[in-house]
Amino acid sequence: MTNNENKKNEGGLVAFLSASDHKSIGRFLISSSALLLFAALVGALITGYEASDIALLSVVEDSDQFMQLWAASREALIFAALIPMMVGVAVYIVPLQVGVERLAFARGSAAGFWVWLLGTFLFISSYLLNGGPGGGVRDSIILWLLSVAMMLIGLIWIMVCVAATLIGARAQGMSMDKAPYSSWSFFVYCLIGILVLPIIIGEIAISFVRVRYGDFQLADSGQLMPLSASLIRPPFVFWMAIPVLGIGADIIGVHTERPVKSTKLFMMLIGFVGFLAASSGFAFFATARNFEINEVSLVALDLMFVAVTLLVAIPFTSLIRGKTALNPAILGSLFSGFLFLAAILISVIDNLSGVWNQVEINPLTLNSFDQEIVSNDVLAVEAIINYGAVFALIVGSVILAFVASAHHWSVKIWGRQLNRSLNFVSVVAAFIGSGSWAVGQVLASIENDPATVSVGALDNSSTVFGDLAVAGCLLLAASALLLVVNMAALSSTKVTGSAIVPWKGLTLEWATASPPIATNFAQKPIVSSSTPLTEDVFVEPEINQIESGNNLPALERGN
Amino acid sequence: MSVEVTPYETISVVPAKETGDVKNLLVIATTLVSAAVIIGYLAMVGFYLSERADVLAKGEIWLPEGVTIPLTQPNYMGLSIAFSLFTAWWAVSAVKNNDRSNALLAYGCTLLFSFGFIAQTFYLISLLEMSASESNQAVLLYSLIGVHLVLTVIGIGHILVAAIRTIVGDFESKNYEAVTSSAIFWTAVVILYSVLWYSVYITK
Repeated sequence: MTNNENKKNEGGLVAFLSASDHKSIGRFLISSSALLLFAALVGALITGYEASDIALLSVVEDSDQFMQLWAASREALIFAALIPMMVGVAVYIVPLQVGVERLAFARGSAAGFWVWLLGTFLFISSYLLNGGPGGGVRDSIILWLLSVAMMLIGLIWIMVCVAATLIGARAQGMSMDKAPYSSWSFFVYCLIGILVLPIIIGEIAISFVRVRYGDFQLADSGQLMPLSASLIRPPFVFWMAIPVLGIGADIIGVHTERPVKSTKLFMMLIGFVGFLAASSGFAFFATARNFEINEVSLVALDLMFVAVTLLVAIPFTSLIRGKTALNPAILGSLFSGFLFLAAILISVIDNLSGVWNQVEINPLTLNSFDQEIVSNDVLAVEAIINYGAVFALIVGSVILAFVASAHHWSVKIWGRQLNRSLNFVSVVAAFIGSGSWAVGQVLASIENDPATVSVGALDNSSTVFGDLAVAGCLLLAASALLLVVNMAALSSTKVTGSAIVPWKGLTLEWATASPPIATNFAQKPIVSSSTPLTEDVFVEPEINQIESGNNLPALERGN
Repeated sequence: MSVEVTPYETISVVPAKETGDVKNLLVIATTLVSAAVIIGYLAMVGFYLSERADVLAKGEIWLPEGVTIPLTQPNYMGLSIAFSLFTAWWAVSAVKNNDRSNALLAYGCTLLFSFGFIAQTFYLISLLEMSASESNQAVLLYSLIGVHLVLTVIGIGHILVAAIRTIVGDFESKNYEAVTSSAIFWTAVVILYSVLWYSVYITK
């Protein structure tokens, strides 16, 4: 396809609305979720500000509005930003990494995107019309339920497309263990999403019948809160950060020019973390979300901590022995991994301290765990005390991975390199912001007595430390805004030809033009290793040797 | 903004060997979707069982006074849908063997059984005489029945499309993935009915 044909295909409203190419859908998801991320963080910022002094509401009018804004910001963060961000990167990158022309069910993924986007608009509308948990208009509450279901259905369908591509449409010779780390982590991520997110849809269905046809009273609309609070609690919340591990490994491998070794172990560990997140998620839902500590989540958390520690540690070999490099992509990946690890660590400590202090048992042996021994309230309060902090860290981790991905694959996505300085500021702001938000939450929980914390179970109420959390939200929002500005600057210019790739990647996405041509690859690739652009990872990829032995023209690369 | 560029035409780093690398994508996707549907529905059943256990633990009765769930209809519905599962896979086998007459017969039977299932479901609902606005039990019961009904209709739609495309000659022994796909989703619908049948209609 010529440049002119490419340009022709890219322009126009009709082309925009009917686009089914994974690159277009990926870009749509990436840009819209980045915008929504900023909006959601502003919402979180306002709730944090109000929670600093819960008795003196200044922005919202009453506790119902506070609850609505809290729920809206959290739901938007999860369903409109964090999950779509990762799904967007997956939609764009996975077909390139596994060497195929398009995503499986291209039009299906486009439909998934539009369903998600329409659901997002309806979701915002429902809250504006006084819906959601704490809402006062029945129809708006129904609209809220339907909109969340639409967002979930759209995302699940896109995840099905990504997972089906990875299972059934990889390049010849690419067994699953030869797939790049990012693709593998997206596979695990999508598979768990497909299996666990429908649980929320099931609950939405019951809530819909209750609100629409049942004896639902508007005064009880706050009872719908658990629906939106389910995904923000550990250990299931860690599912959202699974792609962080694969993206980080790929980025570190490329920028240090020393791909992360122990491929199979690394992939098995990512799968293991996914399995633990899913199993603990099922266990959490199975306990009817009564926030009890259960045996499965305790064991899962401990094992997950060990696994993620290894997953963060293994790439350090590349960092130490590989080429020294410091850019927003590598810094974002490192910070992202650290935040993920910190989130699990807080959860482990939380659970251990909660159990040790109250029940005096060893959670690792799971003996004598009897809910009747102590008050359920006390146990529950101890368990939920730092959920806000863990969520803040996971939010930061995913945002950092997103910024790192955007920088790393910038030339592939937009045909331009994102502004390095802006991205550096964005990465640092997200890291400090997330940390500050989390530290504020932890300190506030220590400052308050557990009973106070349990009243809200929303955010910890504290004047001083609450301000720290607010500052964290502000920094995260600033980070998101910088990224949006950075991406908007790139998107506003037309791309012709292929940009020079600024680093030396060895996976298939680096064997395409930047941005890729309509069919991604001029011809179908055949691979024989996990680093198909070279047989020896330490050799400069001047000549790309593929299984057939052909010596092919090298990509032009920058420094 | 000026950017150094390389013409697309110079970018060619992969060998010119064509491969057939796409494997049963529709079957894979349908299996994933069916798994998602099963999990979501099981969550609803779990919620129902959990609420029921709580009520029974208090020594109260689950169904509101005067409400009974007859067994005749659920059992016949079970038989209908079980037969339809058999005929749905019979259709797959027939298309796979290019046996058009058997395929059409199998499709016809599947649709007949499935429409019968839907008719009996509506009849059962009319027998329940329970208003959703009066009790939590009714909300949960109607949610389970309603969602299963929606899934049944989607499954029938899927089978209907496969049947029509088989009639017009789109599917045959070398291309019957969509037929298998419709049978897989239908299997999920039948599995879910067996769960509904036991957890709601039998154990009440």
